[in-house]
Amino acid sequence: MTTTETGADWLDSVTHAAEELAQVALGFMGVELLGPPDELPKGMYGSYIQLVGESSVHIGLCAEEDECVHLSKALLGMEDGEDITREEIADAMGEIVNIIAGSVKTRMVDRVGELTIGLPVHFFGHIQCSDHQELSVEVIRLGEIDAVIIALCERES
Amino acid sequence: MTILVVDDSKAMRMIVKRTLRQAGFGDHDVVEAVNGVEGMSAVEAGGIDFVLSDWNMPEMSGIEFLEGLREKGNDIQFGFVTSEGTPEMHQRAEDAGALFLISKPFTADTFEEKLGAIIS
Repeated sequence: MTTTETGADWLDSVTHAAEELAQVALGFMGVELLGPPDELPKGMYGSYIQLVGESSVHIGLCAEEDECVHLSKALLGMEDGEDITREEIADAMGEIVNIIAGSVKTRMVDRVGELTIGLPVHFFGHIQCSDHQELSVEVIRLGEIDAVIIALCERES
Repeated sequence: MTILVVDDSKAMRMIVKRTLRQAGFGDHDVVEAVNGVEGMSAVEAGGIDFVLSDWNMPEMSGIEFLEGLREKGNDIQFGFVTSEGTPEMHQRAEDAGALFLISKPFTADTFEEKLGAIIS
């Protein structure tokens, strides 16, 4: 049986997936949820990925450029002083959301049915949702890095 | 042993290679491919003993790669390292002939557990 999930439901799943990622893949001991931002994030670098099924969602992780560098280096096991290219950052951030998406899929499959994970995209800017979409956002602190997690889904009618 | 790591993400190929070293398999040769098409070419060229592949990749997915190998009668040892971790995916991987499916995020301990008996 499948259900239509709200943005808050998806965001909760993304949050738990991000916590797992932070501790296992990034080596961060502390993960802190800081609640919704005062305003929707604009002008941040982000990676997004879609999960498609009877209930679909775009999930994303975005942050300031310096924070994306730190996240990418953490995933790749690079030292602070090592150089990293924009391509490597995009690749690493894409892989981060890919890992989150896989964990979300596993967590949600019994509730929403089968989901297909898309390929990640990385871009600078912000998401603009339409009237029939619902955008759920939360600030998360991964170690010492502040990032924003996003879930964009169809609004319940 | 020569291990073929297949993933469209350069970052993930780096992480897999690093985890192989951390798990104690650093003495083995590692070659890379960016998708199932390249992976198939590498296997058919010879010299590959084990394949570690992602699932979702452009041009040819990991499952298509494995199924293609088996259709050609190639029984090379094959395992998945992927963000996909549902029971259905585990079963699909097993049915296609994979020895295991390791879900991301993974640790060196997981690699040691799943690959130890095979690679050693």
